[in-house]
Amino acid sequence: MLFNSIDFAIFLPIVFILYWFVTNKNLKLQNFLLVAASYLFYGWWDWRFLSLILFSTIVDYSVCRILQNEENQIKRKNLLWTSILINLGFLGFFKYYNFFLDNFISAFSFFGTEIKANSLNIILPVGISFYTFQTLSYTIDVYKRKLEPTKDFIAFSAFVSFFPQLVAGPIERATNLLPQFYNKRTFDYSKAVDGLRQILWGLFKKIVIADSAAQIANEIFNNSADYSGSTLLLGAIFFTFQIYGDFSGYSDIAIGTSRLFGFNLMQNFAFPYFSRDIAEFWRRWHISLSTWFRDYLYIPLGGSRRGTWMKVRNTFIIFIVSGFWHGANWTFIVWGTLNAIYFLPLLLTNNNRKNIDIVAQGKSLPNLKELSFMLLTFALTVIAWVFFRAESVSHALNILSEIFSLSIFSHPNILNNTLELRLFPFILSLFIMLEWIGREQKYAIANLDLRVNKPIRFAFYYSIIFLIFLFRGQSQEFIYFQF
Amino acid sequence: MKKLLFNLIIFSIPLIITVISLDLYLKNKNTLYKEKLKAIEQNKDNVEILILGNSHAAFAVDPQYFDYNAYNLASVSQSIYFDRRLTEKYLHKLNQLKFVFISIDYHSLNFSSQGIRDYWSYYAHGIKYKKKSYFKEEISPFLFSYKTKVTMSILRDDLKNMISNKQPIVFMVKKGVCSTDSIYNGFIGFTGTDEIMFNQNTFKRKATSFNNGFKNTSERKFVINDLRTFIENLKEQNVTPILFSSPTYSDYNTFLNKKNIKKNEIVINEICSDYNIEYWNYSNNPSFEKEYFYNQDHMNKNGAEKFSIILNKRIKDYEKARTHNTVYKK
Repeated sequence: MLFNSIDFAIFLPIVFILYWFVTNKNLKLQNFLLVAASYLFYGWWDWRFLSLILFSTIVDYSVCRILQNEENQIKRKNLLWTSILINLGFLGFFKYYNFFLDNFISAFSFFGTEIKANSLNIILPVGISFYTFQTLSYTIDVYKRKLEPTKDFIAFSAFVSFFPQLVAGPIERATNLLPQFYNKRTFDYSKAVDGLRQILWGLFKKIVIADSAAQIANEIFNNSADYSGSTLLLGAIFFTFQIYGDFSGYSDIAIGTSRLFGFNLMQNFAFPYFSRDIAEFWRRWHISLSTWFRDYLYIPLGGSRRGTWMKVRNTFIIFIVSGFWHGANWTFIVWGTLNAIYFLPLLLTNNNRKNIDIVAQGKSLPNLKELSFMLLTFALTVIAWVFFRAESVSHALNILSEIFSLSIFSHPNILNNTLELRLFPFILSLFIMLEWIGREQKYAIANLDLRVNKPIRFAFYYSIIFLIFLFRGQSQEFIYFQF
Repeated sequence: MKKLLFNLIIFSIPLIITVISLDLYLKNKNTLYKEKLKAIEQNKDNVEILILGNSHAAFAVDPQYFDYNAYNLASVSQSIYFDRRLTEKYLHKLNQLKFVFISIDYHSLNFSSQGIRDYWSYYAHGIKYKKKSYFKEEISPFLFSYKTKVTMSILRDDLKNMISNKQPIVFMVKKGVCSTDSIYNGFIGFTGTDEIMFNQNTFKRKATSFNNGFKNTSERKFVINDLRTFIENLKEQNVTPILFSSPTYSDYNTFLNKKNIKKNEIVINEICSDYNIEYWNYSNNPSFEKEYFYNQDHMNKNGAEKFSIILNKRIKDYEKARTHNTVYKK
């Protein structure tokens, strides 16, 4: 079920009413309702893959229950690896089987040996990368004795399959989310209103910003050979906003929906395009994944503790793995590597934690230096996104070579010219302005009720709803569903 | 909780009122589909030729240039699936019907759905696409079929016409059609030539946009079978089906996939030979120059006049040969 669908608009109020009015007196029943709703939400897409979630839930629940009483270190390690291999085995099969097979065949044919093997027509289960990482974090935390394993199977099932964040995150840690299923939730008016506001903002980001930007970006990327460098640059910039609106919009809806049910999820995006360097960007972009890699990969690999070489190696590993996590294509690996290269100078000069505050905090505008660094960081991310969006590495290189040619000075020309697209630059400017004003909040319009009075606030909400309705015709699936 | 629900209701009231008002407005809106339906009901005792197809045929065949009483029932994006169901719905009423012109264009054999227009034509004709449920679309045309963009443009046109105090046509038409033109036997034409559409990029884009459909072999098979059944049904009723392709601009034609054109030709020739029917192909006719087109694949009023005169002559010759039992010379 898509958040931006009528199905979800009907599903959510029903679950909300059942949750607060029918099952509110019994915590177990309330958790069971969440599990049932989550399975329905996921099964709406393809019920067959519910078995994968259920299996993953049973495996991790059982492994952790055994881990709790197991003192033998070798047996504990074996149990941990059982869980890791099963979870990553599913992920590897569904997501990477064809990639490895194709590359294996290409590698052999490069050396003159022809291998005959057929690719499988594998459907990638939506959200598999997200819930796999979430359950893995639970098992690893239990193994490290950072977390007591739960005895409550329903609560654990709800943690694994919690519908707001099941298919595209945020990737929650068991230490944060699981205990919330143990305690009775009480309805909080301001939290629910805040949740609704965040859902509205997320829908705006997805439907108005991301889907409109997608129309332009798709047109340019799909026909890149027809366009000049300046138009291709414009396409890359539009994709930069598309992916931000798409993914952070999804996270906003997920967090907002969770708040309606009394849950607090972690912030997943913190205005990343206002970052002053690439390290800050990665502290603000897809925070739940970046911190996951930091805690479960970078630190276990030694982090920055064992000298410069190890620090560099580990940085490259997490960026490349992060790229590969996004998809079975060399473009994602190059995207990850490029980000590691961007990161390297900051790491080597120990400047990677220079900008940990909010840019121009307490001020209306950034100073010239901040603005220059923000623009530079933005430009670097735009270049990296070209690899992320392109069909292949050579496609990306062709686009970049055109961008860095003299045709960059030509007048951009996009053929697709609808009313919404003519309106879009104005709306995008307004969006950037609102994001800038609200950059010290959890999301751009979080404190709207403190800033403006009710009639203006309502007028603002109605305008947002009008724009959502106006732009909803071009609805596209969330990009991160494919990861 | 009560406070939240109360505030949500208060907040939603203006939205609900807006949606209901727009739904009522759209339900009563006269569309080209409804207009054509009304006109064919009025002409049911006279129609001898029925012209079917998508926008190519809708804008290319002007019934006023026919000596027979012709009626253009083609509509934008109308697929063979809807051509068949529409005709079969009105066939028993059209007691003078002799010929049905079925437009077969480059993409006609690859699509059975009309996209969002499935709903718009459903509102006028009540024909459902396959077994699709129209429950949501019945409840709210604004939310589920017209969508905001179309609704806004209809509202805008109505307001414009109200302000300028024109006597406009009251149904939705496409850009390029003069809003004060009248409809004649289902035909309303494009005026002039849209120069912006005549460039290599637009040609290429338009041509390639159709190519994906060729990959969907099950859909193609379905459409071809549907066309065969349609032809059989017409012949059973003593109505002669004639397949035809209207002209498209020659430079644009060079961007169409030759393999796909060949594939279409094979299928059409097989059908013609199986049922002993005619295929009149003008898709790549060099006598139709740019001045006859509104854009790369749609004729303007001048083009429609020229093409309709050709069709008229041809149908008369064909009928003459048939009644005198002589061989019709193509």
